[in-house]
Amino acid sequence: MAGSSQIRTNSSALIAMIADEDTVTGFLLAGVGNVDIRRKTNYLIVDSKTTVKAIEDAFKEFTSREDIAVVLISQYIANMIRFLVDSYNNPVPAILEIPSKDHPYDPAHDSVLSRVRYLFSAESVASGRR
Amino acid sequence: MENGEESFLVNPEKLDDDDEVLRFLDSLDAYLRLRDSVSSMLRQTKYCTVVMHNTCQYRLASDGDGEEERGEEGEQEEEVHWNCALSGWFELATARHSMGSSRVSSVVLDQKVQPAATTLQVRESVSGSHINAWSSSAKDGICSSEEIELSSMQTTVKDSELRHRGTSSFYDDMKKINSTINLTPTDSDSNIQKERSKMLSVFGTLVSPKLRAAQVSFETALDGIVEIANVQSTLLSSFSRLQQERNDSS
Repeated sequence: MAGSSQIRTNSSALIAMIADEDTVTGFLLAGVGNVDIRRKTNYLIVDSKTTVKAIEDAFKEFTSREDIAVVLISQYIANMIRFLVDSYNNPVPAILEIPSKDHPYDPAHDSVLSRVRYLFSAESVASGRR
Repeated sequence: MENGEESFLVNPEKLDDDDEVLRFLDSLDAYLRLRDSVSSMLRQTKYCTVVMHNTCQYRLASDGDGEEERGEEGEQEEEVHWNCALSGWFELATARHSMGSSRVSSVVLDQKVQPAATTLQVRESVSGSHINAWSSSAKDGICSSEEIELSSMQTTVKDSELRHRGTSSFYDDMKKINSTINLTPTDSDSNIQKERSKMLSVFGTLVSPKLRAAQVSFETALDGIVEIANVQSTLLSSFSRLQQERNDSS
């Protein structure tokens, strides 16, 4: 993989969440919530009062923590920090954009699919096969 | 004749390129299918109608074939007509309605120091990273219960297989879970049950059955999400290899 970073093996990695209250509550019911001794949580509940800066800071923090393997982020929240999400290239933690109850999943905005989409354009296929 | 003989010889470099392309397409296919499954699990996709009572009217009608049923305010009886599996969000909303919005909200979330009951195991594999989901016992710190092997993508494509359709075990499990989601999970391990009860206790001693159902739905969605993460890792690693080959050849 071009520019591949070393994948950290971890036997008890966490799932971080940046989502609305219902989504976070639901996944906390599934047991993914973690509160460490510094009272830091592995989730950020986004509501109407949450600033974009707070979302950016949470995203940067979760993607830099070594104990997190997957970051779940609601797609409508990811759209607020799209540049940050699209510029993220590390394999771990994996960034997964999930739908929310008010915003269905839109493949057109998915960062992974938008990256691979150009492979399916006629021009790229034709140039690749020459 | 030599040219004719050469035409029958397999170019190993081309085989590798084709393998990589197939792997990429298979992982992309699996990624899109898993996305759709998890979205369906979290969100209602088929038509159903709920009429709530007492002081509020709550109507939810999906498209389906355009059918809608109207509810009236102040109705005395609760009528729930489902034509599809319950989704996590909808169950959560139902639980909130029956238990009260103050009991099912982020305010009650425990801020005490507590490790996550569900963690992941990350290990490096040929196709990138591989994630397993573990359910651990928080009290004794022992990783117990079941290991959920979710990734079904093969890392090598055999010559005889033109295309590998990841027959994900997640889909088979989903069918079983959808058929039993309204039943008590009697087959669950006692440790898992303890952890589930612990999570539910945050919302009070007596919780709505819909909240329990929401918990199962989100757990199922979590399994799918872990599988999506694995497929995404395979997809991105294949994509980057293809991109690198393309750049090298140009």
